[in-house]
Amino acid sequence: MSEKNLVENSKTKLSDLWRLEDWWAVWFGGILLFLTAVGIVKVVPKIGKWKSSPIEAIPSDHIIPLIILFVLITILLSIGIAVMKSEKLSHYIPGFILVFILSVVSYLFGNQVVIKQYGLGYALWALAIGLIIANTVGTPGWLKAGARSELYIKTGLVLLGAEILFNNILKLGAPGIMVAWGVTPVVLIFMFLFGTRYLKMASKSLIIVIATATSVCGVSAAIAAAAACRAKKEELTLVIGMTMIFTVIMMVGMPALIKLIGLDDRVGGAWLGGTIDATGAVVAAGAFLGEEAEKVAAIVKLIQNVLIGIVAFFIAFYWVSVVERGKTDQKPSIMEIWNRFPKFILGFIMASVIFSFLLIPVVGEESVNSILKQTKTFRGWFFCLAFVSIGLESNFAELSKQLSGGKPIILYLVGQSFNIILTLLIAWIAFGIIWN
Amino acid sequence: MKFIKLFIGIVILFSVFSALVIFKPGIKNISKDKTRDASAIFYTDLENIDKYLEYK
Repeated sequence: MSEKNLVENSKTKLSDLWRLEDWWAVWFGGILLFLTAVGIVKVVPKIGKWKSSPIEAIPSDHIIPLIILFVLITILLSIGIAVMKSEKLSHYIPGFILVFILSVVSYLFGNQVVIKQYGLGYALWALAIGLIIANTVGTPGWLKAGARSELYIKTGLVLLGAEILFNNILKLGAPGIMVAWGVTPVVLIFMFLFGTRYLKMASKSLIIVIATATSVCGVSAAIAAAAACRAKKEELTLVIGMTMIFTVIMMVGMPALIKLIGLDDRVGGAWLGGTIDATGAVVAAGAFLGEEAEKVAAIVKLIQNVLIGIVAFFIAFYWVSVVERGKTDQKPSIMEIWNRFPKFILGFIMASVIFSFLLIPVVGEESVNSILKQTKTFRGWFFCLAFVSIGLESNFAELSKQLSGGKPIILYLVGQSFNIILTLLIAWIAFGIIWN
Repeated sequence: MKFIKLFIGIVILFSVFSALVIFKPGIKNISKDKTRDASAIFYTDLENIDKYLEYK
C-alpha cells in the first residue's frame, strides 16, 4: 500500500470518463464549482477558529450545515465509487465516516489561533493523526476503504484551479512578474539538476516535489506536483512536513533579518513573497514590516501561485514523455502521452481558465471572490480528507527510507538558500532600481 | 501493546500542541502587533488575500 502512487495509468477508452478516478475528480470538482457558481450552494460550512475551547470553533448553528455538508460529500463520492466499482459502498461509507471525523479533529487542531499564527494548519495535524493511527494500532481494512487519498487530492486540485486567477498577474505589473516568475523556473530547474546530478537521489519524483514546493508555493504546489509526477504518498508526506517546518522558521526569521539590514519595504516584501512557501505565512511575515511590504509580499505570492497549474502541466508532460520513458530512445507518440497524462490536471486548468476569463468578465471580480470563498472551503475539506488518508496509508519505515541519508533536507536547504539569494537580487533590481 | 503505542502517540500530539499554544515560542512579536488579525493568517496557500488586503 505504501508503494502506491498518486496517479494511475491506463490506455484511453470512452469508458474512462466514468471508470477513472482522474475523470471523477474532474466531475466532482466541476459539480461543486457549478453548484456554488450558480448559487445553489450558498455557504459551505467550515470549522471556525478558537482560542480557549474547541467548542468555539463549531457554534450550535453550524452543526446542521456541517451534517448537510457531510451528507452531500458522502453522496457525491459514493456515486463515483459505485460507478467506478472500485470499492463496495458497504465498505467505503463506514471508513469515510471516520476519515471525515478525523478531518474535523484535524481542523480543530489547526484552527486554534496560536497554531494558526504559526501556519501549522490542518494538513500537518491530519497527517500526524493518520500517521499515529497507522503506525500504532494499524489502519484496519474498513478504514482503508474510506481513505481514498488520490481521489480527494485530485478533486481538491480541480477546486484549487478556480482560485488561480490570471488577473492577479496584473496587480503589481512588471516588477511583480519579474520577481515571481523570473526566479521560480530558475530555482525549480536548479534544484532538479542539483538533486539528480549532484546528490544523485534515486527518486526523481521526490526531487521535483521538493523543488516545486520550494520554488512555487509550498503545500498546494507540492500536492499538484506529486499528483502530476505520480509521486509516492510518503514522498508527499515528507515534503509537506519539511516545508511547513521551514516555513515557520522563515516566517519568523526573515522579517527580523530585513529589519536588521534595513532593507526597503517594497524590496523586503517582494523578497518575502518570492521565498516563503505558504501564502498565509507570507502575509504574516509581511505584516512585521508594515502595510506596503505586506501588500507587495502578498501580491508577489499571488502572482507566483498562478504558476501552480502551468508547472503541474509541464511536470506531467515531462514525466510521461521523458522520465517514464526510461532509457529507450523511442519517442512516445502523442496518443501515448495522452494515455498517460493525469487528466485531472485538465480539470484544474479548465477551472482556472473559466473563472479567470469567463466568470470575472461576466459577473465581476467581487462576485467571483464571494464564490471562491465557498469553493475554497470545499477545497479545504477535500485536502483535509486527503491528508488524513495519506497519514493512514503511510508508515514510518517507508518515510525514513525516503530520507535517504538526509538528502531531501540537503536539497531543500540548498535550493531554498539559492532561492533566497536569487530572489533578493531580483527583488532589489526590480523594486529597488528599475521601478523604484 | 498497540494501544499503549496509540496512547503514547496521542499524548505526544497533545503535548506538542499544548506546548505551542501555551509557550508560543518565537511568535510573541506577532501577538504583540495590534494591527494583526489572527483571522488573516491562513495556513493554506490560496486563501482570500484580496479580501484581507481590502480589509487592511
